[in-house]
Amino acid sequence: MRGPKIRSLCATVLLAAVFTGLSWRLIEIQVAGHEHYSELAARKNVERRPIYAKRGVILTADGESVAQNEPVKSVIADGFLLTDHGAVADILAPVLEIPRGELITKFQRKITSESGIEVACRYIVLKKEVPELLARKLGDALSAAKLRGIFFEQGFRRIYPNGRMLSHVVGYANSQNLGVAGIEQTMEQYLHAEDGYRYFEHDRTGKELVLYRGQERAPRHGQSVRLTVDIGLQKIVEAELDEAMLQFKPKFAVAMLQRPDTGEILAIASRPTFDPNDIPKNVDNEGDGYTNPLINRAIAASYEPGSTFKIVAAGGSLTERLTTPETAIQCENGYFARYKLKDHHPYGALSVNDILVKSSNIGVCKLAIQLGEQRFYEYVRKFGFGEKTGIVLPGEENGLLEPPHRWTKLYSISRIPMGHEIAVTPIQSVSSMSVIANGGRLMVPQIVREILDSDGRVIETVRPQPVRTVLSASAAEALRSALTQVVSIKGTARLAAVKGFNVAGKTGTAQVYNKDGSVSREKHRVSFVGFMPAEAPAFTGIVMLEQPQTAHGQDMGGLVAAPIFSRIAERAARYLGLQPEPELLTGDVVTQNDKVRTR
Amino acid sequence: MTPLIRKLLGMNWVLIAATIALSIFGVIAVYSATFFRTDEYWHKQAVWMGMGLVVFLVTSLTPYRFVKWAALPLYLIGIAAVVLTYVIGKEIGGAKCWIVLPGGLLFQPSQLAVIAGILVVSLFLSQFRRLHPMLKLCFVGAIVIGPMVLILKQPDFGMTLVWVPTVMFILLAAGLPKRYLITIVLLGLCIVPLAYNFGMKPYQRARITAFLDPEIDPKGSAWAINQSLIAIGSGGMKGKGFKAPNTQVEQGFLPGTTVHTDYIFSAIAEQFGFLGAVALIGTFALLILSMLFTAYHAADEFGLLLTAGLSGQMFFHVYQNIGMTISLMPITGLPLPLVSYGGTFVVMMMFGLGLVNSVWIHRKELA
Repeated sequence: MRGPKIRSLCATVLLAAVFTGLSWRLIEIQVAGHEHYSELAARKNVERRPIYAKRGVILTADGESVAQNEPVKSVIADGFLLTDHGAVADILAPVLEIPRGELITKFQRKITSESGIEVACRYIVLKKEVPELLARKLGDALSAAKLRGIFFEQGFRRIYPNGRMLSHVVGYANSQNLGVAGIEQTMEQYLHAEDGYRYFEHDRTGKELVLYRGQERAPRHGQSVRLTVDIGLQKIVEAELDEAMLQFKPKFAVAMLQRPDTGEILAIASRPTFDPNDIPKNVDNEGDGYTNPLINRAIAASYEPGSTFKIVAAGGSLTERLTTPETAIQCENGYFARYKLKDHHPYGALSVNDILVKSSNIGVCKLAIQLGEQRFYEYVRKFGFGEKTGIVLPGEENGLLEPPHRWTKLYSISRIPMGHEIAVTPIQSVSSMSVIANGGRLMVPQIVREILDSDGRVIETVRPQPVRTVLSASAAEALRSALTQVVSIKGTARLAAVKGFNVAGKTGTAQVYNKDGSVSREKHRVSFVGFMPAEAPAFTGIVMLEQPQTAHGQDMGGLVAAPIFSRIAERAARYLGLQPEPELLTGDVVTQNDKVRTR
Repeated sequence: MTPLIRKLLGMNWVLIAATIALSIFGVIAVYSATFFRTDEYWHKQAVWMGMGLVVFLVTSLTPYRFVKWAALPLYLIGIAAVVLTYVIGKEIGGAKCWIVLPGGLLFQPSQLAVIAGILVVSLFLSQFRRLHPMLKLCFVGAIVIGPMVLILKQPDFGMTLVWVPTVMFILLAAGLPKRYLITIVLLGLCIVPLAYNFGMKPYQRARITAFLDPEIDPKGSAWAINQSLIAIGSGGMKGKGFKAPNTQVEQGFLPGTTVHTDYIFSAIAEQFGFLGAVALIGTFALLILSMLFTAYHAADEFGLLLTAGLSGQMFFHVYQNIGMTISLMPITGLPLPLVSYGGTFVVMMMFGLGLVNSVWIHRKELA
């Protein structure tokens, strides 16, 4: 067996020799050559370059873009390729409006690589958000002068083409393209875009080696959001609200239109307002809080609703079948001594229907007493007061509603039904009116209709979301009929009438408290909440003005807010193409000069 | 003791330990080279490893003499499958080496052909021991020349080259007189310049040039080898660590299409350093030694030749693959056995190692 042994030995020796060779070579590379190769790795002409992703756009229901992206360039310097710092700075300084010296300091920035060597920084951001045209001019000038080392990077800046319009809803994004207000904030997870990146290797002249492009990640563009807001209606509401601001100079004002069946917000405006392209700095959050233009008062203003709140007690009473619209209630001839409660006009017995039409404080108080504190409180809650409506906008307020055990023994049950001792938000108020308009259901106010992908395909549709049934159908019908009479010759809101249509609604005039907590006799907060056409409502609307400046005693819901609603409703009806009822076109429409009851 | 239990206890445990260690490490290596891009590769590799272990076990427990019957059919199937790649082959990286099986699996027939070739050559030499050495050479040449030419024309230079050391190992083990072996080696060396000038495609020639002088074209044909050297060299003694951030691999400087196959060693050496790389080479050495040990103790000529051939194949794969990443050999796409990503190769290698184990288990049956 000599032969086989030698041959095995040969094979084993070969194996050992070859594998030792591998190890020897590894020592050469990894142990002896480690420094050399580490330096090579560190000095590689490599950089990670972002690929910008586009944030999702925000569209109105009819497709108008209210938040979009404008392409801009970032000017970047590559310290490795820059040779003539002075010449480059001469060209850049005037265009970028950066002092020449500052530019040169930036050019000379050094960074320390992993292996501790100081090298020129290859990515120095000189200026961001340079308009495309300007960047192109710069590029041409530099290449004409045969200067290298400056390049331009595509980026996007958020712009709001409609400016002040709908600004509270749209909100705005910060410089990192993160939404920090409005829909931009609440829908951030959809709108958010994630930049991709790519590793490049350069050859010695800085030219990208396409063939050896490294790992990359594609940018993820944001999804788009389609709102329920209709830009046509929004323009009408904004225009009328601006008009009202001029005429009455209120501290702030809100107007809104909602589709009652679905809860979709069709138009929403708040004053004072701002331009998201130029966000006001140092807004005054102190003082009386009236001046901050960034607050969306449609969802954040808490105020005493006044008479518009009377629908709650009446609706509860009718749904619980404690009364019918015809049930007569004794209204104490204008003074309810037990609760020290006054009516503006003395009434004897009024039907439930007429309590609303005449806006009797005593009548509605008796309806609430009949319901009992607990049950009345439950109806207030059922109408959605005292909690957020859940609209997807940031900064919504709860309003203010105390539970019965914290009510003042004697007065709360008489004051809350008429809309005092309680604070509500405009969005709660309009949603509660939609309950009557749509036959008894409370809907979540909806501002987002659809989510679209970056190619514009619908990927998610937001369904209307009912919260609960509040009123029986018959109660809703009775209230609708009563509120229609409110906007008639015998009601308090006749100025809300629109020629050709039946309008239903309720005015509200509430007290304003002075800083010391006393009730102001001079200042009022006026509102009108209603819907139209009364028979088949196309929209519910609210108009609310804080402390309108009028002649003494004229600052009432029926005189200030109702006519504004009337104008908005009339234009909206025309815009929506609603068919007027021929017989209503001939009747007389009340003008402001008529003597009217307006509480 | 039942025969099955005796067989189970009588396995070549060194071989098994090395095999399992390497294949598990393979999944880890594939994971570390690709996890930042996709989980697909290491998931698949884990499945292949599992299947390979089953194949390994089944083959181990089957007496290897049955394989004699399978040798010729496998050889013919192997050749047919290689021919098939010319017709319906899937082209990857410029070579039509793969066949897409139903279910999207990729199958590389040349891997099957090598093993089948080893079986047939071993079978032939063990059956005709008394033949004149010259005749033996002629017949063996006739057996291997067909598949070699077919694979060369795919073109898959690496898989063609594997045949040479494999057959040489068999001939060495078969007791072919040393003067013949030496003559073959010398003749082979003479052919190299001829092949370089007339037989090679320009890109292959460029690879050789680049191998001889990596500085000649650092952005072109020598780019990959330079990246590999930088990755391995920057790994140093202890390596950058498993899944370390900003490795050359993660940044994509090793070709993304082959970092988990041909350049897996670069990824390993960068992360685990010199110590890890030497441990890996040591494990391979242990595996091949246990194979040679098995060959020495084989019960019959067929077992001896078979094991020798498989050792030669394993040896060349390890040497060529690691050698090319550290610029000891020109670049040819040969995978690192058990470690590189690739289904056919893992299963074929497991089959081969199963045969070796079977030779070990059944070494006393005939003696």
